[in-house]
Amino acid sequence: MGKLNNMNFSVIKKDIILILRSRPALITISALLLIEAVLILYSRGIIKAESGSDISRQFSFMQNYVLIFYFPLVLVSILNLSFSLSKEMGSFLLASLIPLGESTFLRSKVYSTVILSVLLTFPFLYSGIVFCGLESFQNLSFLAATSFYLLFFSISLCTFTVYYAICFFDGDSCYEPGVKGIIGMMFFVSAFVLSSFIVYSKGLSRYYNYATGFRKDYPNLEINLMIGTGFIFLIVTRIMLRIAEKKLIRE
Amino acid sequence: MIKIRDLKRSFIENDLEINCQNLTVDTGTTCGVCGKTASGKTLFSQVVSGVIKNYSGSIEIGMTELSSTYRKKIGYLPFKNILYNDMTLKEISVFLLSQYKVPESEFDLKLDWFSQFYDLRELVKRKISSLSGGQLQYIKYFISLIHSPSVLIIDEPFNGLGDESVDQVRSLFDEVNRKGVTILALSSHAEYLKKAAGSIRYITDGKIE
Repeated sequence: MGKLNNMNFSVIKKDIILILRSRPALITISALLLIEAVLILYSRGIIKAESGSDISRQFSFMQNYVLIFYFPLVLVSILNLSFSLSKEMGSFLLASLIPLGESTFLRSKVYSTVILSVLLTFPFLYSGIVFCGLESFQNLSFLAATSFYLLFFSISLCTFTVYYAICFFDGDSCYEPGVKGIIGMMFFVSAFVLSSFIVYSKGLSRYYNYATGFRKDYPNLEINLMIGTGFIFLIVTRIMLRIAEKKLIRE
Repeated sequence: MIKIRDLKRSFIENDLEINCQNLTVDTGTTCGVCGKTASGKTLFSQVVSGVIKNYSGSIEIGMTELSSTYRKKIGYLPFKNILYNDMTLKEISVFLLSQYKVPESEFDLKLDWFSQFYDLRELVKRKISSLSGGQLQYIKYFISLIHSPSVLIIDEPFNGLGDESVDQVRSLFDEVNRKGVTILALSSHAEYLKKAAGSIRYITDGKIE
């Protein structure tokens, strides 16, 4: 199989510039950072006031953090579709003039969204664990498993939204979504996030059993299953990306 | 060299068929194709540049049949602006150079070379959206030549340019031809094109005569 794309940092840089040069996108990202900082300070205040809350309370905080984690992830994907992909499609002739352009442009959209998402979500999660003193989660194996799972899922979600826009939005008017397109995307993204959160909650409850002494071994089979599920998300959406690529090249 | 034989491509939505029995543009020369509005110039330029596929017949660039791997050899200057409005000339150029695997250091050299026709150096840090139509047209010329293509296809070479710019375009074509680049220019301005191109063909309802 031949080389599929011509990916390098300058393509990703171009995509990040396209998002950040859009004022609404920049304001949204700044507001997100602010909200995350306020949330961390707020929950830190609560936990400190309780002078080292009990383990079940720490787990409930962690579950909330992970729920909030999905919010910037979904938002950055939407920003990418609204302010980067639509601009790209207005200039898509450029992609068809560059060697392997269509494939490169499509993948760079995913990578740039992943980079922005990771920058907005992972620091929030880790800051929550460290600054709010969630000691039960300051465990290297747990953090590694969580990071892999959420990273795989972040890549999958970003890939899925790009795939969905290419295949189901109106390509003739720069990939603007119709009502059906928006509803469908909301449905699939919600289903994606919900299924991911259910899988993660199960992983979290198994870790709870370990942290409270019900289980002795960690990392265990269940954690491997969690990472494996994240990997399946990744593989499925990679296939979707190939479908979107073929569609673009055919057009 | 551009060699087109028995080229046919139908566009149902435009109710037009591009038909070119025989067109040869020798290496280092310029061929102009004149036609009225909606005669199929843009579609023809997109087929020849490889943007539009699924045609019958043959298009040879150099001695090789047109394919996606030969994009590096083709420079295409489209009628509409396909550059990112939120980016500067430098940012777009650096990005494109990286895609064509040309060292970034070439940017300044190419900019200096291009300044003999139009000085873009003061526009380097300005966003594309802030430029006038004429400035944008020169930037499109610069961008389409940035990877040193062997063939340059231009859709409306005088778009946004005044009468006084025809000589500049002519000298740009001459200089580019001297470097061995073959030019195919399509325009509705027959008088301008006759001044700038070595040979002229006509397009009527998609048919190249």
